[in-house]
Amino acid sequence: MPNLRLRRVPRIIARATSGGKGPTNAVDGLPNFPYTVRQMARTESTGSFEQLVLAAILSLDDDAYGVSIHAKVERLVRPKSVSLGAVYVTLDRLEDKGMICSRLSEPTAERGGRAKRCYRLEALGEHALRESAVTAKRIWDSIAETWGKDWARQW
Amino acid sequence: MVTPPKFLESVVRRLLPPAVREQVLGDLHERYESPLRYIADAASVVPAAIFSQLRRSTPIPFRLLEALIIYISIFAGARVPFEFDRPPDSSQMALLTMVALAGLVWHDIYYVRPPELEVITELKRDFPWLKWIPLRPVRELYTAMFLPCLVLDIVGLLGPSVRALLNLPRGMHLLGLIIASILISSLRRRIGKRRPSVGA
Repeated sequence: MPNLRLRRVPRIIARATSGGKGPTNAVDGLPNFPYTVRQMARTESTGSFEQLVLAAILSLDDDAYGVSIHAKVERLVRPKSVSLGAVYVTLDRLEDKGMICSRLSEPTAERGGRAKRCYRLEALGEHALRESAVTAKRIWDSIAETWGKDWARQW
Repeated sequence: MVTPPKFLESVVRRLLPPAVREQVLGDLHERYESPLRYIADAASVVPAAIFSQLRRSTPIPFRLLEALIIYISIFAGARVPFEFDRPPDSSQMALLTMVALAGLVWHDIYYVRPPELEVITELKRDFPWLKWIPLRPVRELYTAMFLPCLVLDIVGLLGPSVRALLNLPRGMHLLGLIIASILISSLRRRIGKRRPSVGA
């Protein structure tokens, strides 16, 4: 057992974490200290429209920007229509929540020489989308159980 | 290729907050089919962009706190004899607060800070303690709040009947707004004003 010396760690903390004998779990020649792994904070709740926008971004992949996201969301909520403004507000809100991130692309001629703001899902967004998909599946199963599988097949 | 009319585009450009101007104008350009459709799209997008920018720049509780600061500052400024010929009543101070707050909101949505003058940058390099004096933000906030109040004063100049009808305060409320600018500036620095926008 190499003689491990504690550096930059107050003695009292070293004693507390190793039962007073110094660190014993060194595997790489450096002192390692036990630490507590906490459960990841729960994702902020997402509304149904936010879920639609997240799903649109996921399916569009690299081509997710205002117009394409709006078109995709309109296809998802058919026959209802969605305003472009509502999509912008939701995109901003999702970005503030840390569920998506954005970057400006190169300007193109078809946009009058203006850049696109492209969006991408972050880990938090993927997690939220997965959670809502699981919930939707449970709702679906529950309804199918009550109304029968014939009803479910119609859809 | 069909492109939107220049006039319409310039109107929408002026209405959009600078932080989202580029991307929104590009999206509207891409969706363009006819002037009517462009107007309909702009009517949906512009208010949404303004609202979103407003929400992102300053949270509502923080905005209410700013309103309170303005009201108290105007109240404090009105105690100084040279500020008003007679102290304004509470409804007049509320009116001033609302007008100054509207200026502040406008500032948060539309103002783009120009690059600093080279002389000032050099001065700050030579005297690092200078950057602790928030002269620039205070001046910007003061201008944002003062200009709409000045409009109120100009309306009051139309005549005593107009002044009485609208219950407008008399005076330039200079001191109150100076106090408010200093307090709001330091509050924003302390709490950390949210980014104006990702696109800024």
